[in-house]
Amino acid sequence: MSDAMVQNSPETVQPVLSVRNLKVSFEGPKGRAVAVDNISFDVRPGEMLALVGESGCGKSTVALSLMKLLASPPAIIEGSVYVKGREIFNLSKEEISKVRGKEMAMIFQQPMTSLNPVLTIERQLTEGLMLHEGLTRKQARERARENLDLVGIPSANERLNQYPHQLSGGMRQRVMIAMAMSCKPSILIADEPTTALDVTTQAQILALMSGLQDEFGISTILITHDLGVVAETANRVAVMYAGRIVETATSNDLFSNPSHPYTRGLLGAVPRLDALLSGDDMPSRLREIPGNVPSAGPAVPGCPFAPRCDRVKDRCHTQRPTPVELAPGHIVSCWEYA
Amino acid sequence: MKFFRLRYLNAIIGLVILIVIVGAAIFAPMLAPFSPERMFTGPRLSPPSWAHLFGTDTLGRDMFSRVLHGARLTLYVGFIAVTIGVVSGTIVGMIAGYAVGWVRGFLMRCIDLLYSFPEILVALALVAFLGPSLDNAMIAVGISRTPFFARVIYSVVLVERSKPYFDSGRVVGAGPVRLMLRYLLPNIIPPLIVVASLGFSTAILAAAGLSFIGLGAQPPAPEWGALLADGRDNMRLAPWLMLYPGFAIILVVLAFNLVGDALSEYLDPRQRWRR
Amino acid sequence: MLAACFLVGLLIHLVPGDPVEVMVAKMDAVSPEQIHAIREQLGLNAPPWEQSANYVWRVLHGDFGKTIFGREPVLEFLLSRLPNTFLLTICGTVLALAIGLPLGFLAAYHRGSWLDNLLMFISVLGVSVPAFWLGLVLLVTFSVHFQFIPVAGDGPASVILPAVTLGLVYSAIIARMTRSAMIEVLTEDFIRTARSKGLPERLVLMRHALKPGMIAVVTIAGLIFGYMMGGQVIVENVFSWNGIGRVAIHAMLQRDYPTIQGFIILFAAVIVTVSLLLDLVYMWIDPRIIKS
Repeated sequence: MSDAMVQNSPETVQPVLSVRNLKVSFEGPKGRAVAVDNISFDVRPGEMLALVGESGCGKSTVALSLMKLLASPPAIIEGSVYVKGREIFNLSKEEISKVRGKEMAMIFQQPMTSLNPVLTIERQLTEGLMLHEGLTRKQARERARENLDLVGIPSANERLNQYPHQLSGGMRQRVMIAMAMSCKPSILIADEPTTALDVTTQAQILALMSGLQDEFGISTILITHDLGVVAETANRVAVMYAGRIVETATSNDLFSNPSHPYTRGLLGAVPRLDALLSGDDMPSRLREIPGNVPSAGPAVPGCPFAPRCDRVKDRCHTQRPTPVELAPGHIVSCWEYA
Repeated sequence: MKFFRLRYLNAIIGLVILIVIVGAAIFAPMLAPFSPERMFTGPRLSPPSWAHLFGTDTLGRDMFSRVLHGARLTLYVGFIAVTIGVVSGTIVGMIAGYAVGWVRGFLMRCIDLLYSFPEILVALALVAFLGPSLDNAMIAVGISRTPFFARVIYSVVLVERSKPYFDSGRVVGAGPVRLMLRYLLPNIIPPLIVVASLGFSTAILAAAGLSFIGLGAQPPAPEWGALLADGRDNMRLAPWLMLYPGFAIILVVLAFNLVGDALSEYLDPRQRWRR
Repeated sequence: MLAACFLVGLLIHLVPGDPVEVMVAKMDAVSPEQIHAIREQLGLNAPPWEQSANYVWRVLHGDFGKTIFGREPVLEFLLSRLPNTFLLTICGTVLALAIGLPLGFLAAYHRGSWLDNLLMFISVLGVSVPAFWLGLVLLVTFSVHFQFIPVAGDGPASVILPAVTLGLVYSAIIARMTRSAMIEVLTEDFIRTARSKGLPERLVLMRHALKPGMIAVVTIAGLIFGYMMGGQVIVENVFSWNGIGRVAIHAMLQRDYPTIQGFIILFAAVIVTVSLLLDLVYMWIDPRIIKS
């Protein structure tokens, strides 16, 4: 893993992707519901940033809105996104099509349904290449075959002529990865890429993704609820809660020094083999966070975690916590540190 | 928000039309200026006027009165036909969904066989053998809808019986009849209401069609389909004779469709089982 | 099929009503002996189940009996009218698809917009119109105002009005079905994938949405063909179109059992054939079926 590279990268390096004040809300029968509340983050060249949170915290919404793939209306998207310094939210439909697949590509959660069942693998792999790189059908097929080799699909030539239903789930996710990688994008967004797969396949897919990332220096946003996945693969982690980013840190910092009460709660809810083996008097029961994830509703004025927090203070309910940098690159939004 | 209000609007339009028509049917004897069967209330084949809002037919009967009284027949026909279809469809569908093995196989085979025919054809064939009359037309239309209702109920039962509450009923020792009536039936009712309200429109259309070709209501009954058949004979001389009964049919069917659509959206947003 | 034949035969004989009575009602002074003789001749005196069994046996040998009134062989009689019925059904289906499909696509794509609402209201209205009434209205309008379109009969040009009638009525159903099928396709994950690849909207629709949508459309077209075969039975009568529907109604009004039986069996055969053809089309367009 290229931790060294990331830690060396100073703030002066231009981020590949910058998200500023992204806000996504939905107009519903019961008024406006805020799914993503004013979040900002950067992705640096070659790093893998994990966006972690429970289901319903808005992480998939972030992913989709970055690519402008959310149907709007109903969704209302505000803020700005810069790809290599260029703002993309103001681009026209045609221009944004040129960014999708070329600069930014995406892997989805459901490999079963994310491939078109009535088109061949070849068709689905080559259409992006023909469109963005102006390849002929023959050239594109050749590239598609290479890409299938790259993602570890044996007998690529036959696979190209097959349809998605003839492939297993893991194979389909590999095809999805090959598809996303085909134009060598600078940013890859992977939305829970392994959730629908069984455990052994999960590990293979993750290994494949970090391998490719290292090989081609692609910056990746990995969206997941699985902290094990994060620890294994990500350089940096942003923890989301109820539409906000509550803590950002390198993976090492986050696991050794979780600072936001929510992050601590999350880690406490993960079974730890080391504690068990060392025979510490750490409680052998998993700790859980009391209460439930709030459903998206009107934006709260204070900290969204306040109702479930064990160190809640008065102002947590009324004032939005300002981000504090605990250590270089370790940013927490919590009144405990202000 | 506009979206929601529009949906609402459709349902309200449907309800209003329904209320008006049901009112017209109930108070037809009071509202109608003439008896529907009284002849020579005015000149024959006279065009619409203040004395005869919808004109008169070949025998000088007042069309307005006839159309009004026709509402009674139409609603009655629709109600009986839907009731026959729903009751028999529910029984067959529930048994098919509850039973296992050859009973289910046999029932579903029969249902599918009948279902593969267009309903109007099944109704036609039945009425041809029962003999032309309004009662037989109702029965035929009701039976012709049975396979559809049975299939809907069957699929709902299949879903419901796989839910835990059904097993818990079995565990506490409920017998098959009790399981069906106390456990399954209440859960079948919402989709049943929807198919029944939509079934009304199909049934009314089918019955009117049968009467139109002479296999349903017999003269002098002012059934709308039969009125259309009368109008057809004079359509060149007196086109209004077939205009108003047609409008009446469209209104009733439209109302049931609008209400049925709204109900189905309200009661079952997935609409899986709808065609 | 066989079961259908037997059922039909049995059903017919279990119900009251008697063609001979209808027949003799039109003649003067017929003695009971004569009636009995006619019944014997027509084979109507045997018990119902025996008549049914006999009937099935004969149908299996291609003998559908003779029409009670014209004494023509039923099968030839019906088959001679079948091309007319097919002509009308096919014209009607093509027309209904040509109107209904684009409108359904349009409504699905602009789902929730005023256009969608308007189109769907029109289609509910369309579903509520009785086909025979629309036929009559067209008939009056065109016979009064436009003399150049033949209003009845069975020449090639007179197919226009009945086909338009059927086409309009069923296009409303098609539009509704197409809309819901396309909405389902357009919300599929793979449509999002296609967009994420940067395909222009036109390609997303034409390549990724249309083909899966076509599978639904074929189902719809098959259903509609079946409905229309049923619906035209009445429409044929409105326009005096010389197809099997008109013959059937005529037979029903006269209780001409062999003709009715033959009609139903022929109809069942057509429907079975159509569903087999549909299966072939599915195999052609849906790669998932080829494998299984």
